[in-house]
Amino acid sequence: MLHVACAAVALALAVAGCQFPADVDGTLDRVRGGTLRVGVTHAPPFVVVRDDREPGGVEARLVERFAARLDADVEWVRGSEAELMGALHGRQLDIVIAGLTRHSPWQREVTLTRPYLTTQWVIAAPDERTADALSEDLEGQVVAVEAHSEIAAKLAEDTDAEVRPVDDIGAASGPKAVPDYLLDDLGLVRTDAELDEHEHAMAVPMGENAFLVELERFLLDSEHEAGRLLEREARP
Amino acid sequence: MRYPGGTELPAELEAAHRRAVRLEWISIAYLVSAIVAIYFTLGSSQAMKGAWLEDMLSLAPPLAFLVAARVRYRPPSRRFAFGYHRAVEIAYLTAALALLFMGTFLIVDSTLKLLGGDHPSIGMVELFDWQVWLGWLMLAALTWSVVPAVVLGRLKIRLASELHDKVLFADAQMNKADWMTGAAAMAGVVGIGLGLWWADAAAAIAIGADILRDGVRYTTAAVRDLLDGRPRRYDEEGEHPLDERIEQVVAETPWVQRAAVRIRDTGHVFNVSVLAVPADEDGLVDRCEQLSRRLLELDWKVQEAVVAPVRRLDDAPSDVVVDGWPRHRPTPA
Repeated sequence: MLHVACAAVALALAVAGCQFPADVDGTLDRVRGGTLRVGVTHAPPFVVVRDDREPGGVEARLVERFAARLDADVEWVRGSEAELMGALHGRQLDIVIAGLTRHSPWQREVTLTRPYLTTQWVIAAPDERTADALSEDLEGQVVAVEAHSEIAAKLAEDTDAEVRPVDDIGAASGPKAVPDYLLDDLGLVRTDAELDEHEHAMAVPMGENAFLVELERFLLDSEHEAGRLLEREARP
Repeated sequence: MRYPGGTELPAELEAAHRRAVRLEWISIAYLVSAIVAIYFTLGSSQAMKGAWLEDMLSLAPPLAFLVAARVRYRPPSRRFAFGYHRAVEIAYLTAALALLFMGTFLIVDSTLKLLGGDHPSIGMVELFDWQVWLGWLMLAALTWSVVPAVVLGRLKIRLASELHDKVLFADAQMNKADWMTGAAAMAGVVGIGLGLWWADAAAAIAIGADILRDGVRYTTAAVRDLLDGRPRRYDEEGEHPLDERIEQVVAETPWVQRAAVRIRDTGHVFNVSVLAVPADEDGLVDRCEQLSRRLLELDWKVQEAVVAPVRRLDDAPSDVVVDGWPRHRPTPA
């Protein structure tokens, strides 16, 4: 029985033309040497959408490189996350970049790639001594955080710190909640208090496994590159 | 007459039963390891959640068997004057229901997937700087999970026929269900690799139907046993051969004119009650005890045989009544 199964798999592979895993809709074959349709939503520093220019940001740069690898042109499509996800689910787009993380609620509609980069939100201090003190105990300490943000909610819920909402986190003084890639630029020292971890990913249509594997191979190869791009793009 | 006690298996079967208990412990250890492994590896995937639920359900038959194995030999007491044999029957029902649920779950889950048009995605992983398609790893993991189920199932089938144990048999079917779903999942992964998004769900539905059929069959059997139905073979292939031999012994007893013979399966042992209309009343007590003893000596499975002399058998269903002496019957071979 095993022999029959093996033979069947081998035959099927031969029929499928050696692409394994294969796409349900042949996305990879269409994109290679053709056009890569990419949905973009403003989510700096990962995706920066400007009216007058091509989209920028870490993910846009990565997608451009991926398109070059496939010898494809990029067609940028702007829209809200919901619009783009609907289009991606309906196979009108090939990739959506929107600063998505692996915790995206779109999991059932689209496929998220493996994370190409992981960032952490931490509480940081202006100097080593304050950082040590904050690592010991956060209770009652005033921590600045960007107003009206997800991380402000996390800070209020998960710690005993006193939340100080500010409009410009870069300009705020004293301890503050920032992503780890801003630490060097802002001259901050991280404490042991980790607020959140974001696994950054892109979205592709479900079932396009050859395309998914090609993209993930590229993302695995680009992990260092992604980190460098982020440091450059995030510079205040 | 000896009071019907907690059963002891014949010496040669005692060893087989110990082997079965050991096998079930191994099954549980293996299942728990699989449950833990799946829980920690692929917690967010829907397909793996299914596999996880299946493994949890597979725990039911061996657990039921082991609990029953502990309880079944307890001697009768005032609270449980018939002993604890029925524990086996409850275990059997548990195992059968587990199969039933598993089959139903597979069919419903996969049908929803198929109707929803879910196109499963399997991407890349990196293992020690080595990029590999996750599908290959899934196939390796599934092979690993299928092989022990096949081996355990085969060993259990053999012991089940030796011990004539239904719970063990249902559990062996559960192992069969396990390896078949594993094989279906493998076909599904290969299908996904080939760009056939429906392969996974379609294979699962086919196998779910097979498991559901077993589940319905054994649940029916367990319910029938609990309703004191006429004993059947452990694998549900027809009536138990002992039924006829018991009736024959009663029919061949010279002093029995007519008798209602009722046999029920209380798990792994039979319980026989004979309402006998005697031809005459000479030495009736001795004759009753003697018949009871002869029935008990027939097979180790007959653990309780009550013979009650009655004057008439009114309203007894005709197919329960055995006509005895003086009608001539052929002697047993």
